[in-house]
Amino acid sequence: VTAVPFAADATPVVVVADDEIHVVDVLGLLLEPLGVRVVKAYNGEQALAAAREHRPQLVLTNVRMPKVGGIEVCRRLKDGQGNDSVAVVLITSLPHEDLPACGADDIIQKPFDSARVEECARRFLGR
Amino acid sequence: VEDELLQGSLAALYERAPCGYLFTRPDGTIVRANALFLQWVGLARDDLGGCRFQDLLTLPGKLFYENQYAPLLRLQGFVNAVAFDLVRAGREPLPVLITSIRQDDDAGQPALVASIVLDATDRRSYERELLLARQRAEQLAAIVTESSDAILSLAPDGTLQTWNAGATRLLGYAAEAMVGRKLWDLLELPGGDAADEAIEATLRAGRAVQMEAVATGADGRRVDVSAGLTPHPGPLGELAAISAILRDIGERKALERQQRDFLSMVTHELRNPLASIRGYAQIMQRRGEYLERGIEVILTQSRRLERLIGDLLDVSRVEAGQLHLRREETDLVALALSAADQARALTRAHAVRFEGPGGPLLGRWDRDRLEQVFQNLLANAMKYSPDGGAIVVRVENQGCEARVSVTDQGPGIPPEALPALFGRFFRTAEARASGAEGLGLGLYISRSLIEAHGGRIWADSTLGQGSTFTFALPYTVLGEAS
Repeated sequence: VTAVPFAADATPVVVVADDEIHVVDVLGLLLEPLGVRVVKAYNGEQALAAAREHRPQLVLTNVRMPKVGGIEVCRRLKDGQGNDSVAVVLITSLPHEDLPACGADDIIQKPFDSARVEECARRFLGR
Repeated sequence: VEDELLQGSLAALYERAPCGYLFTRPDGTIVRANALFLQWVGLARDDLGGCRFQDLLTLPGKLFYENQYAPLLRLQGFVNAVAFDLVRAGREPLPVLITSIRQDDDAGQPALVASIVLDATDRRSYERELLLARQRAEQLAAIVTESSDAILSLAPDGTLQTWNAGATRLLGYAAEAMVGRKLWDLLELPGGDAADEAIEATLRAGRAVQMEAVATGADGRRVDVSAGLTPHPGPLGELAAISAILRDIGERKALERQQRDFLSMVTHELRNPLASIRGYAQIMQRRGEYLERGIEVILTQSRRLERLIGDLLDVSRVEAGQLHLRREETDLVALALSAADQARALTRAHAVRFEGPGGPLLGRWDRDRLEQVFQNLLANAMKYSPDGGAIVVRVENQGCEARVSVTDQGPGIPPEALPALFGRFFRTAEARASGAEGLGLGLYISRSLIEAHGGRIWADSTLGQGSTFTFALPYTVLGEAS
């Protein structure tokens, strides 16, 4: 573990989690130009591990994923223990009304517009 | 003078009475009868000579008269309101009620019998109506008893008063356990206690209530029911009773759930490839540059969408019975080899191997549709053996049919999942949990295609050792023009 949580010069970290490799790649290509470091995860377990290790400001997670789903990822990140300032945004193809409450800060519908993803990232990263 | 008038009036009353008056000797010989009685039996006063009352009765009546009626009359001096049928020339027998009183002479010997004869036609038809009404009531009761629906009657406050066999079948409680309890305690309504009150208010206003609810069965299981409640007002318009019909709608609910799941699955499966396609297209548009990787993803994901749409179309064709084959001379070995080649190009983790005859294996089959089956089986073999291993495509000639099997070395399929594997939208719990893409249509479509060829398809699997999917195709199909 090399990340230093509150170093003044730290590059903001965003964790992106989706079991679709291509979606993760697209999100990475959209976010990197904003000057953030993107950590990629392909299921909920990896997303939680990445969040513990890299202390991200923002987690973008798909909902339907193997092992641990996005709702559970959000709940565990928002349970008040540890990095509770992290913003969690769900990226999902499911309609809003099918999503159980989990304390997510925003929801982006798939297929998404790149502008929507950038706007969301800027808002939560303060950029 | 008054006495004379009185005598005359009595005689007139006697003649014109609305009932028959009859006087006989103890042996039944008619001494005198009034006009109405004579009219009933179709006799003139002069014809009566020697005629006996019992000769005017139907045979059963005559026997009853001789064996019961006359002895009783001798014994107790009177008989009250006994039913007989009077025989009438050329007409239906007339049902009557007869009351008789014996008159004795001075020596105490029976001398005369006086009888009043009442027309019992109305009474007989009332009896018949009553009988019919009772039969109808019994039929209705049988319908209630034997219905597969729960048919219940309730007091205005919801207390159960009857509980039919259908209710016992539906929920498992015996009638004794339920009568006296409140129906509301059994039903879980979408609105909770507030819903109970709203229902009661509607019923008190005289309107019926139709709703869906969940009932709790005796064994604790939850039963989806539709419930119809009908208010029955009393004489003053107050709520006097409630009838309730509960019907099991579990099957419909399961179908609705399946459709909802399917829709959300389709949405998910269609939107994911779209997300990648749109994402890469926007990135390239914005940067104004050509990304090799982006183009590749756009092409593979649009092919994935095309396959999904094709599968959905095939399913609707199968459901509509409009799956048509284009049979032509087809070499199964060549098809298997080409499918194995294609699969090899898609995976680095698996070793795809062909086993089979060195020469062609020909039959009249639909080449494109069989190719589709190969692709489905091979895609499954790859998808569900994520750790790699060997995938063997085997083709065998079995004389009257050709057999093809695809074997993988994945974790295998739990035995309880095997029977449902080829059903529509079926995915094993393991498949869902693994997050592997798919709508659960591939095997359903494959089965439909193989069965359209007159063949059959099945799966064998051992947990921890892998699965084998096999299909058998007959070379000729009886009754089908070549």
